[in-house]
Amino acid sequence: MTKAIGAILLILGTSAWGLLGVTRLRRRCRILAELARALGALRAELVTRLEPVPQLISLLSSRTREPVASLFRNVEARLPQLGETSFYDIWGQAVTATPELLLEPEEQRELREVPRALGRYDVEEQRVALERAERRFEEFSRRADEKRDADSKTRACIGVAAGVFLALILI
Amino acid sequence: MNTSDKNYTAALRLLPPEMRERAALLPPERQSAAEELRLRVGHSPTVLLPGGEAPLGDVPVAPRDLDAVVEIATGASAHTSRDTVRAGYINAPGGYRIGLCGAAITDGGEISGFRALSSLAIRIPRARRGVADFLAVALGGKIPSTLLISPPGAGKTTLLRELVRLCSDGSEKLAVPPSRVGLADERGELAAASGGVPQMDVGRRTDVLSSCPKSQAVLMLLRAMNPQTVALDEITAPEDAEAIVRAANCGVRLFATAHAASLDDLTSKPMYRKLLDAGIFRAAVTIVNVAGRREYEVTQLP
Repeated sequence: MTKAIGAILLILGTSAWGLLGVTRLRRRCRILAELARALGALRAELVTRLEPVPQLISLLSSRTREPVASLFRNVEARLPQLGETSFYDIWGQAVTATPELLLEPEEQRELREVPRALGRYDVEEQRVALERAERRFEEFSRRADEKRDADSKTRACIGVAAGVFLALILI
Repeated sequence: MNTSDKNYTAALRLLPPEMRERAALLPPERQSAAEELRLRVGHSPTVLLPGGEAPLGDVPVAPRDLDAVVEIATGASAHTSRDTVRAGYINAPGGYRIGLCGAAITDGGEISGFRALSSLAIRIPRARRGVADFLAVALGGKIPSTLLISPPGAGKTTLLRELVRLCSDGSEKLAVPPSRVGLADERGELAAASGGVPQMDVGRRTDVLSSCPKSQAVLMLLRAMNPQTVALDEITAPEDAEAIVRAANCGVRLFATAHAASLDDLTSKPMYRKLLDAGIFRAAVTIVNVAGRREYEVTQLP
C-alpha cells in the first residue's frame, strides 16, 4: 500500500514538473505579446500626443497587464534618479529587477536597448525605432508560440513518463 | 545661503554628477554672482560672472556631458521641447533656459534638432526683490509705459520680472498702486511657469501666457484677460512692435525690453525709432555695467 502511494506521489510530482514547464511556455508567449503591445502603445502615445517619457511610463504601468506593468512601475520608481543615473541605465536596472518577464538573453538585450530610441528631439526617429522594437517582440512572441506548440505535449509526456519510469525502478 | 546660491545650486542639478561636484566648489560669493554656466566640448566648463568667464575645474567637457544635460533638463523627453529647440534653446524646470549650439538637423528648412551638440549655455534666473524700486522712486510711484534697454546678459529680464511683480502687487511704501498685468512670456524665462504655476514671483495679479509668440500673446491677453499692464521680453520682430502699438491704442501700460547699448543706439534702429516716435513709451531705463556692477539710468521720454 505504501509503495503504491509512493508511486502515485512520484508520478504526480514529475507530472507537475512537466506541467509547470508547459505553464511557463504559455506565460512567456503571453508576456512577449503584451510587451509588443506595450511598445506599440508607447509609440502611438508618443507620436500622437508628444507626451513626456515619465508620463508615458506612468500611463503604461496602469494600462498593461502583469508582469509588463511591473516593468513600467520599476522604471517609474527609479525615474527620480534621473540626473544621477542616465535614463538608459534606469531602464536597464528596471529590466533586471523584473525577472518575472521570463525573458531569454536575446529578448532581454533587445528590451534593454529600447531607451536608446526614446527622448530624442526627432519624433519620427523615435517612431521608427519603437516600431522596429515592436516588430522584434512580435517576432519573439511568434517564436515562443511555435516553441510552446512544439514542446508543450512533449514536456507534459516527459513529466508523466519520468514519474512512471522512476516508480517502476524504485518499486 | 541666500537666494542666489539656491539658484546656482539648483542650476547644478542640470549637470552630470561629476561636473556638478566640481562646480559646487565655487566660492559662495561667486555662486551668488553667477549668471550662466557654459559647457563647450573639449574645454573646461565655465561660469559666467559679471567680470567674465571663470573655469570650473580642469576636466574637459565631453559630448556625452551635453547629452546628459539635455536628458536631465527635459526629463528624458527632448521631443517635448521641439518648438523651443527650433529657436535654439530648451527650458528646464525652475526657469532655467539652456541655449543650444552644434550641428543642427533641418527638416523643410526648419531646425528639428541637433545631430551633435558642441556647446550649451545654462542661464541662471535671478529674482532680485527690490531691484525695480529705484524706478518708482525716480518717477514718484507713477510708473508709465517703460522700455528697458541693455546689451544681452545685462539683467533686463531680471529687472522686467521685478517691475512686473512690483506693479502687480503694488507697494504702499513706494506709492505704486496694484494692477492687473498680462505677461507675454514666450520663452518661459520671466515666470518659469511649470504646470501652469509660475516658479518665479511675478505678482498676485499677473496672468501669464507662455510658449506663445509675443505678438500673438499680447493680443490674446488684451482680448481675454483685460489687463491694465502688458509686459513682454525682447522686442525683436516688426510683428512685436505692431502688437505693442495695438496694445498702446487699447490704453494699457506697456513694459518691454530691447537689446541696445544705449537709448541713442536704440533710436538708430528703424523699428525701435518708430515706437519711440509714436510716444508709446514714456520712460526708458538703460542698464549699464560699471566695473562689474549694474547701474540704472532713467530717462523720461517725450
